[in-house]
Amino acid sequence: MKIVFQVLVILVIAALIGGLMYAGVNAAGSSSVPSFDGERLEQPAAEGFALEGREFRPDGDHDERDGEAGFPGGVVKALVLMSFAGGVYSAVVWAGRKAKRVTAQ
Amino acid sequence: MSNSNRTKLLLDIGTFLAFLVTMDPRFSGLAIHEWLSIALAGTIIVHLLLNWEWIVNVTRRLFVKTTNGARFNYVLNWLLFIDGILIMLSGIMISESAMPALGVTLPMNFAWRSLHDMSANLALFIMGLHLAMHWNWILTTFIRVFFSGAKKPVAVSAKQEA
Repeated sequence: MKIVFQVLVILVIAALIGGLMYAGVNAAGSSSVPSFDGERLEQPAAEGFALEGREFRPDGDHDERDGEAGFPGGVVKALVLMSFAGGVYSAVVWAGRKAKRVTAQ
Repeated sequence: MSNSNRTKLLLDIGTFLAFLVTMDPRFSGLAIHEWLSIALAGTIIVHLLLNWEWIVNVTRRLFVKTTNGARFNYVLNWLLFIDGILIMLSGIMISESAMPALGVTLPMNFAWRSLHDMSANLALFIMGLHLAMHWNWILTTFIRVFFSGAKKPVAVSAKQEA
């Protein structure tokens, strides 16, 4: 029962935050793009993607839908960015501790 | 080594690996990207439940008596939670595989795509900080779970041989 309550708390908070975000995006006015007979419209090409026909397609011959067995560049990018953030945090903590030691001496 | 810590670590490792896979939809394919992300929401709820006591304690003491590190950690966790919701919501709104498979058709909004990319990149930075803040616990628990246990059978077999 306790766990059900905790899950409900998490879901309610998530729903509130999500609802606010949804309302915010709609209020921004960019959501007023009409759809045709319930069909999904084309989206603008994101970075590294080009539109071909009515689908998102990455540049070149790749197709995001099926995936590819090639080099997982996105995973490497994620690891590099997380390592960078972690490195920055560690450097700040290290500098803070060093400054404290110097002040104490 | 408590079972709780072992469970937390194994869940966190699984969640992290799944998170990495979802960060590369070209590699995994769109269907895996979307379904795995939905599954990740479940593991994140379990992650929060396993750390519920800490969340409640720090929330109570946030403005009264707690360390700056705990405050920073708390705010960072909220940012990660909010960013995670934004990733999920925007992902659902631009879903091309999971939502249509469930029979859900959502109105298209160009803003969701850029919000999805932006929030995913932001999540990487926050996740990096989150991991760095808990690095000592991760490393210590990892060594205890995967290496301390392996030494025992060796010691037992050495005794038996003697």
